Amino acid sequence: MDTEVEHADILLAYADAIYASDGEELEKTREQVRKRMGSGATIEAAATAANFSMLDRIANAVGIQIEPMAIGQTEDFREELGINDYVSAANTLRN
Amino acid sequence: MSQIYSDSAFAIRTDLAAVHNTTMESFSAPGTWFDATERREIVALSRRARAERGFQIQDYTDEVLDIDLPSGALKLIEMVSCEAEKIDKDFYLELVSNGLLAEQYVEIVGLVTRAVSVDTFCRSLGLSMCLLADARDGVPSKQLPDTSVIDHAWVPIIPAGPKGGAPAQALYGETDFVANIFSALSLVPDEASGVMQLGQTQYVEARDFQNFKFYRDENFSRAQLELVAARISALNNCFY
Repeated sequence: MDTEVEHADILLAYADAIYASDGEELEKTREQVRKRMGSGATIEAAATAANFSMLDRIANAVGIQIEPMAIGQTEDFREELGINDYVSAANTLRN
Repeated sequence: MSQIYSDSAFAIRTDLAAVHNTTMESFSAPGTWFDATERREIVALSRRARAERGFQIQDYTDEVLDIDLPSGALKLIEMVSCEAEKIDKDFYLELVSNGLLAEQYVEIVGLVTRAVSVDTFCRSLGLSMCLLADARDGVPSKQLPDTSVIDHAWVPIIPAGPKGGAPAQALYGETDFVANIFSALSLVPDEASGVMQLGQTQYVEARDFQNFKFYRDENFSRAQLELVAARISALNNCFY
């Protein structure tokens, strides 16, 4: 996937490894991010992962509705990316 | 606990270490609907559930004491910890109809998700898990916001602005708009506040939400931040 974001390849690999159970892969991808982007960027990527691990669970656990303005803004790519098929889509669009 | 991350090979921001320190301390303090021993147990059970399902926690230590929790609490802890994407309104209604109070549901969600957040950060950087402090004395405050309503979630929330009255002012300040996610746990204001503190320190402060040039590290742009956020949300099957 071309995201047009610099270093997207290693950031996505790092995010995937954070959620996988392979400790060696996590260490490898973390080191790739650190070497290419620096320690500060690695910390911020970890903080971002930590934050959305929390917010995503909250949203799923209490059936939070998406803000009306965001429904229209995201309509064009939700279907394409399969986001409408998430179980939580039913909760979020209509509770 | 004040020395959190002091032995890390990474130079972690002091505000980030401080908010994680505050978060960890809150797990062993009396809450709104649970005492300190129960809150500590909820976090320990969440960690055990994740460890048993293969969500690795660096240097995992089982701190479960096997104390009694309300009916349904254990199931909720497991689901929020490991399968939150499968939770639906029927699940919530069943737990509440079987005796778990909506406010207890919210406090458990707050405790588990904040613990997941700190643990994910540690795992991401290869840091050992932060151990729980001993439970502190005290009783739950049992303060229910008198302006809470069912609005944009299954659980009651405090609406922003005049409808939310004094509880809204205390939690959100002088604003008529709060993102739905940040009011999600407002039935237990201390949990909502804890989430907001973590959110503003780990992600973006509210005043910079629309600032797409925002960065905390010059080598990690807002676009890169949102890319990681989107990937994590996809891995969590989170529509919101």
